[in-house]
Amino acid sequence: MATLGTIKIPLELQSLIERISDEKEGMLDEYKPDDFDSKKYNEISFLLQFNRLVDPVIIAMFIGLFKSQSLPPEQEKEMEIDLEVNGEYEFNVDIEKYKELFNNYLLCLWIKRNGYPNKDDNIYLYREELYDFLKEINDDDYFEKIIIPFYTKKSCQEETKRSFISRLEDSGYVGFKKEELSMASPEFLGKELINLQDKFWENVIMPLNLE
Amino acid sequence: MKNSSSIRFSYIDVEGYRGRNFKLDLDPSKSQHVFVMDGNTGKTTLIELLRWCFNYKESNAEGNFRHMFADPAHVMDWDFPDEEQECIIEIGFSKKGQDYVFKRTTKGTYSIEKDQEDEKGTGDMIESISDTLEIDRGSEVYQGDKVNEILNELRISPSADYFLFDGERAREYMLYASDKKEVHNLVEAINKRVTPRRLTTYKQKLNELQKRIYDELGSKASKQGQTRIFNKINDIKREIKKAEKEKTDFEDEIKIRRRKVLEFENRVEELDKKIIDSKSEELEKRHDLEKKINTLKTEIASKRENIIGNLLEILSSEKNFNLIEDIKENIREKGRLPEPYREDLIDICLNSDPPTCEICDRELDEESKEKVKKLREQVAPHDIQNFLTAEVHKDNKKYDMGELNKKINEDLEEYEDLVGELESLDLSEKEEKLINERDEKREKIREFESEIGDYEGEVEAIESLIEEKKEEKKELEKKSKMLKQYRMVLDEIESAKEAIQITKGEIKDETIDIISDTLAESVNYILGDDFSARLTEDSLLLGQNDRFHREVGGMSGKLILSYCFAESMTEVNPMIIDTPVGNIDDSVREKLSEHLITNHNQIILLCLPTELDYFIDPMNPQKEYVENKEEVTWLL
Repeated sequence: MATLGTIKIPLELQSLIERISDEKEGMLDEYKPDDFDSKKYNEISFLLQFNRLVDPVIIAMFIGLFKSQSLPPEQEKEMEIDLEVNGEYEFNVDIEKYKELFNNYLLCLWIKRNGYPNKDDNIYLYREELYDFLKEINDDDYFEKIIIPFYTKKSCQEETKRSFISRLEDSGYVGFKKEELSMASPEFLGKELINLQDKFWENVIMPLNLE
Repeated sequence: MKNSSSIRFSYIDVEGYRGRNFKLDLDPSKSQHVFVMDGNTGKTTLIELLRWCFNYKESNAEGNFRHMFADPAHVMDWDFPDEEQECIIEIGFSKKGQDYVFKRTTKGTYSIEKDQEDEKGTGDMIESISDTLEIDRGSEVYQGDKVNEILNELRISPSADYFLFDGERAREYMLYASDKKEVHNLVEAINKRVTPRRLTTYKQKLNELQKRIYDELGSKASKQGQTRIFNKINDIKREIKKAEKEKTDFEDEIKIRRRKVLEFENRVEELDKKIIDSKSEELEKRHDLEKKINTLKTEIASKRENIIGNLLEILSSEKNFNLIEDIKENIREKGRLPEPYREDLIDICLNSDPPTCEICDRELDEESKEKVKKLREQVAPHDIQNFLTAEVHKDNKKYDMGELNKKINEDLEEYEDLVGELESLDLSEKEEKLINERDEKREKIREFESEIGDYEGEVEAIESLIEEKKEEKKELEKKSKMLKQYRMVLDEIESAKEAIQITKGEIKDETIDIISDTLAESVNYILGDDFSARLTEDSLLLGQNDRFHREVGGMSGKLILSYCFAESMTEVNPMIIDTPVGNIDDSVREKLSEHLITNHNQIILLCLPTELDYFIDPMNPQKEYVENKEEVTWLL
């Protein structure tokens, strides 16, 4: 069972988690828009639909992977990762199911970078590298200390628009005018998540099945 | 003193203890018995065995036998090492017409090895010690520690250190009387002797009763405790009063708002009626549009909630994960990853002599051996193998986000159209005013109802607090009442304890005086007119010509003082004495002999043959004794 303790995360993600936490405790009014009017906006925050506070962290982790399509840094680069993130939050929850899926995606990405084993090459070296990589990503401590901070940070790095996480925070209350919905409405975010996932599959997984 | 106790010993039979085997038969019709025994024939062993039996109950007897200055000393026979032994001592005695037989049986072995190994040990390896006490030839039989309880009631056990007298005991008393550092032993002995048992038992019972009451109350029922409870009750009363005032204030607020709600509802009803009465087509349309808009808002919100609630599930349910399982299968196949179970096979190949392939039975040359060794290093660890063979967990749900988005967009478009239509409705100023007023009133009603809900919650919380406080107050009042009642009982207990303490003091003083007088009389009789003795709460002094001092008297005088002290302290009358006149001057032996005859209903003396002169004659005027130095003999 992979249980998360205190993890380092980007401030944007920490802000979203704290907001959901406050809303779940009934402090709703604080986050309603200044001009809030029940005729113009939704009355109850959509963010209350998250079952657990860790759910946005998992989503951010996958978005970071889908967008960056990068392999995680090696263990000795932990210090560098620590410096990149700036918030932390304590969870103590089980994320086994999603950790396993995530690691399967990471393995596919690793195969995309390193190729399948080939009997003509140095298969002994290939096996050693493969074992090292799988050992590392299956280590709970590494997952908590490196993988989560690394990919959640990636999910918040946007150049042309506001990050998915930042927009997710604003999706709590959106109005009913079509032009106001922009990129923070739940339906837009849902579509974006699916598109990102599709691109990862098209780019990484599908080609591996053709080999 | 002679008639103070009717206890008489009838026989003492020793079998096996420390290798001694003898029986002392005592004639019930005779008061004096003299046994002539050579040195090292068991005199001291007998006295110490009797003290051991009377002083230590069955469960506490092991390791508590002492002999001369050896403490502990062995009880088993060391002439038969490592053999199973059964040692028995049986003591017959009578009191007030009832016959008693005490018996202590000790089973075990004596081990030389253990004796040498353990400096503090005795070499005894005791298997069991068992006591029985039979009354009137079996009409009552007691066993175990109960035996010692009865010996206590008969006053035999508390007197064992006095009526069983020997040189060692005499030396102890001389030391107590002469050495300031040892006088505390005397004080303890006197206190034990003169403290009335029954009063001590009563005091113990009163203490137990007092403790039971304290336990029941959970406190010591002090005046301060009562005041604390009284103050606490008053605090609670004040808190209840305050809470009730707050409750009334909230109830008043609720009433005010209920009146307002009623008033506004009437007004809304009135306005609705006016609006309906006007029957304006626009108004009907407005009602209809408002209804549709609200329905649409609810539908859109529900669809969006559904999207946020399922964002995470989308990740594990949208894709064909079998493809990833195929990729992993591909890696395992192409990489020919040696599986963990292969390790055993490789070991068998390498460890066989000569190294041989377990599968094809071919002997491995050096190059093959190196390859196989390298292969062993490349076996996939279990967790990696598990990861590569595991299926990807998937949720079998499907989310058609495109369809959902399309529906939301359609709803939003309709919503905008309806809002536009609503805004374009041209209502007259009067109708507009009516509608606005009605909407305002409705909004106000909602606000008031929400406030009423909040206040009702507060009232409920206060009511539950008041209930709690009332319950607490009730408990405290009950406790206070109990305290008052028990206080009276406790005061009575304290008075009774005080009375017992005073009585104990008085009895103690009186008992010490009586013992002191008896002691003085005895010393005076034996040592002559110049001599006397005095016992106080913290001293035992011999006096010569009215000068009482710890240095008065020679060895003989001090021995007599010890004798007389032991006699005056015992609560049973017989005296059993080992080597009675060893260090006593010939001049006082006869007087001591007369004194013992006069003062005790039964005298049992274990004498050396050299002690008979001047001492036995007064006891046995007929001189019909038989002396046999080999066997234990009793003299008539």
